[in-house]
Amino acid sequence: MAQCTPGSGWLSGALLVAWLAAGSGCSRGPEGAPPRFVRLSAERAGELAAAVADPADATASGDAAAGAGRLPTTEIGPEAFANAAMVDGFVATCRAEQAAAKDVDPAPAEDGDALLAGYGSIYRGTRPKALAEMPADNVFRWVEGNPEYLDPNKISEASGTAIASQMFETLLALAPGNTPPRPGQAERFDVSPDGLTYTFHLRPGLVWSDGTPITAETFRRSWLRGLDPATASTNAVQLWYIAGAEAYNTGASTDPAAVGVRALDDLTLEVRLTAPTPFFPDLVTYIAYAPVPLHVVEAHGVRWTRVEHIVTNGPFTMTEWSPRSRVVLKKNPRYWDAANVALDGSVIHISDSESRNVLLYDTGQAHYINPIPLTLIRDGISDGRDDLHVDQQMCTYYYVFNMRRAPFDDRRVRLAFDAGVDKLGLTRDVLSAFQPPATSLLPDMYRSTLGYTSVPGPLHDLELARDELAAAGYPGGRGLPMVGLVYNTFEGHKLIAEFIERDLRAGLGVELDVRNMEWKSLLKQVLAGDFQLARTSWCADYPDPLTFLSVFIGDSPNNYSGYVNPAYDGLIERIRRETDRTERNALLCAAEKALNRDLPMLPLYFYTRAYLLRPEVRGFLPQYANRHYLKWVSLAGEGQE
Amino acid sequence: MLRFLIRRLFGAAITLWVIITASFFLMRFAPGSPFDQERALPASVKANRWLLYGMGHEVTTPVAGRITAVSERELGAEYDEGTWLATLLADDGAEHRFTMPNDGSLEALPLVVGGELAAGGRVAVVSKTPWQQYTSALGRYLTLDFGVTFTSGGERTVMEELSHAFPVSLELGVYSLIFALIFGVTLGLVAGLRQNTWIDYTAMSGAMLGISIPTMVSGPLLVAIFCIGLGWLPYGDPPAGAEYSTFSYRVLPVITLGLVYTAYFARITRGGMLEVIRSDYIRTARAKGLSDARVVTRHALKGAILPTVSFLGPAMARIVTGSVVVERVYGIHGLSEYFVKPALDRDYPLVLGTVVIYSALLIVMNVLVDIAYTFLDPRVKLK
Repeated sequence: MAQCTPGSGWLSGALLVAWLAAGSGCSRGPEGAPPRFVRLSAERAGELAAAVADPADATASGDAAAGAGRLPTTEIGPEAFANAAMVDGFVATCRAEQAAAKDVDPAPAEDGDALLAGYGSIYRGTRPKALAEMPADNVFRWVEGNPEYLDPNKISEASGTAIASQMFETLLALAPGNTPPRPGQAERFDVSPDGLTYTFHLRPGLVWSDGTPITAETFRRSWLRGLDPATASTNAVQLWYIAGAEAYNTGASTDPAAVGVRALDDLTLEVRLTAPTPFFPDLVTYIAYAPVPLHVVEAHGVRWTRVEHIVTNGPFTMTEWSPRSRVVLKKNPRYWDAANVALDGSVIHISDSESRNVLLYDTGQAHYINPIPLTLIRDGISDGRDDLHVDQQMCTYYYVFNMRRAPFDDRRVRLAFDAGVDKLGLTRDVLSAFQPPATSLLPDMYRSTLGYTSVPGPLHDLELARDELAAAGYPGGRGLPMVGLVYNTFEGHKLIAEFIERDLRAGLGVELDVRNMEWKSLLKQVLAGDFQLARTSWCADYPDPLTFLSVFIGDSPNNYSGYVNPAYDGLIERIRRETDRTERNALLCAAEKALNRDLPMLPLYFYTRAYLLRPEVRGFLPQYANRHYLKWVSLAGEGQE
Repeated sequence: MLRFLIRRLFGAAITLWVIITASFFLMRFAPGSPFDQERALPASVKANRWLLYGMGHEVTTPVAGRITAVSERELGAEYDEGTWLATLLADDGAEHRFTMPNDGSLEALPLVVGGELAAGGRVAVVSKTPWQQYTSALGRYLTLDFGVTFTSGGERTVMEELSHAFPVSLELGVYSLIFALIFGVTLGLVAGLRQNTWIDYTAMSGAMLGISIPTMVSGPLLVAIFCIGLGWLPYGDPPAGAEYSTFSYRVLPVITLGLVYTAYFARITRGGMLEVIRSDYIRTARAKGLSDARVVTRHALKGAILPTVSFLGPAMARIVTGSVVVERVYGIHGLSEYFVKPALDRDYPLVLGTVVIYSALLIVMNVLVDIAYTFLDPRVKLK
């Protein structure tokens, strides 16, 4: 509950109600979360830079409404989008709001890890449950989807990341729970005052599991390998924050020396960035920034990740990898902090079925299973078993409007749909795992780390929705053509779509033509702009609001809506360049306000993650992005309970 | 016999070819490309993936020169053969025009006007047409070389993945068949010899039950009782290196899968026995004064078992395909893993590999059954 906005009692209330009710049907997003970073084309960047260099006088207008003369005069098409004057108004309002909000701690992250450690937990049962016996061998057993490959330079899906992260340690290590990154292969780092240059100081004496030394040069060459177009890595975009990385990755430049990574000496790595990136320390913990054992890669080519060849630098090495069956990890005695690794090893059962997960758990073969079936969540909550956990997740479930076409080119129709859906009812009646209803794109979980409180969007208001629909020329839904809603085939999505269909019909008299499609087919249609309303979701790539807000940049490949608003894009560019935290938060808030006004999407709820975790597991804390580092995990022995 | 084998092998090759062709084009008709994902890839990376999997061409320049014009074509869009892409002025003054080498999607065009390009430099990456992909891959497919899977980043070949999974499924299938044969034939013979007694009724009611309960019901029931409730048998994949305990992991799956066929075999064998036992040559054998046991083992058995043998082919086919459900229920990592997921992922090589392996297995089983027939029934001659 700590995450609930103090300013939005509605949201807190909604959560409370959702706690009391149990429904059914939520989903984990489509598998995998390959991170991406959107870059503007050169021309667009130039235009935006010009716009940013000449910002309108923000102090003149207290609010957007104050500059009524500069408001868009139409509600239809791109002319209706929030313009530069409005955006400046939003920024001014946000600055004022921030100044007024005394209760927001400017630097709460410095309060220490204790505050953050338990952060993100929404629910945990209290009644002990008798569980099957597990082998007493100090090995942590869990389930994961099938990892496609384990080469840190190439991994782009969640399962491979989860497994490889136990074997390859980056400069900064993943911390337990949601606490800030900790020293990993680097013992410390410095940031230049302009935020553009990071200098990492490696630990002396680092070695691979075969004894080969690791130096700053290892990191430089590993990152270059990830960026090399010949590697064809789907995850290289994660490195594009580094100066020159994008050009090298896309083949525009073939000179590796132009990439902003330099090994000053064996223990010092200097990284130049394209923009001040306050979340760069978090980014560095991602697997794309891990080193690879180049001596092994050179010797064995694509086969280097096989059990017989693989060499790692993290707390664990691999002793078995049966594709689609099982991965077995063993403690790496050459890891620099091996003394503090409690586990002797780990067994990962490859499973893509929730029911199989439960069987593995019930027969004592897994300490931790995720995902679990909806029925189990519901029953588990009603009987209060203490191994059922529900955590918050950095993901938003939303429908995207196709703004290129009628009727959703009209802002009033979008607003009518958004305000017409009873999201509280949805989370209460259909979803079962305490999902908070969403009124805007951003989950409100940046208060502890950034001191940023997200801005609620339009609330459920049938009156307003009916008025807007009438104003758009469709009173009572009359005259509105049948609206097609597509979602990818999944039981949870179906229940939600049916709820929305019923809700809109009853509330607004709107008819929806609800269809499901197999995932790749849906993606093709949505990418081609051939849809009206489509189900999608976004999960954070890094713990910063920018990952969500960047989705709706005009040339973002993930912006299916056709929302192209130079004023919004300019605002995002300003956020990228801003180094002052307070000002950056004001800009983030303004970007949210612009989205909440223009409504390229219909946010429905924020994901939660329900899982079973045996009570003897220690140090396995809630993590927004489900990134768990087994270095911190231990198993309580018998009697220690 | 030899002529029969040659004819059957020829037929098998034709069948396989038809199966490969049909699956190949069906996969290509499915919307979406294997390299589409929710979060789009940069065009350069996507283009390299087309090349990596042999599904695209690289258009390169034969000579060094300067780019004088580049067309404004959209990446990822489909263009006709001959569509102009770029023009290059060679160092010797000659002008080269580059066009689409075939109908297909344009995946990369990393050029700028005025840019220098060395000889052999990349002008564009273009996807091959399905027909080109088909003709270039068919020969490899026939030698069981399906290339690398898309979902392993080019790290594992299809055969490597399937060679892990195939023995697992085969083992399960063979055990189940043996289980079904032993119990089914025994029950059927006993029931046939003791027609209309309580033995017959019990056996046939049991068989009826076995046929009517699908594996997706009996499997979870057995798991609930023996793995979770009583805890007598383990669930899942046996741990590596524990050979002796492997069998205990297979008991329930084999029973689940074999149960249905035990029932079929029992009914068919009983029917065969009833028919044979009334035939003239059995009466003759009895008239010669042979003992009952001798009549059954030396004369009746061979004839009674014939319908069972002819059912072996279809039974094997159904056991192999039926194992998909049982493998899912018991968490066994056999071929079932490769049945649905690769198709959804548009992992073309893996889908084809799975289809071909299954088809080949079924064809071989049918040939074996035909041969077995000649040994049992002297009236059948293979021609």
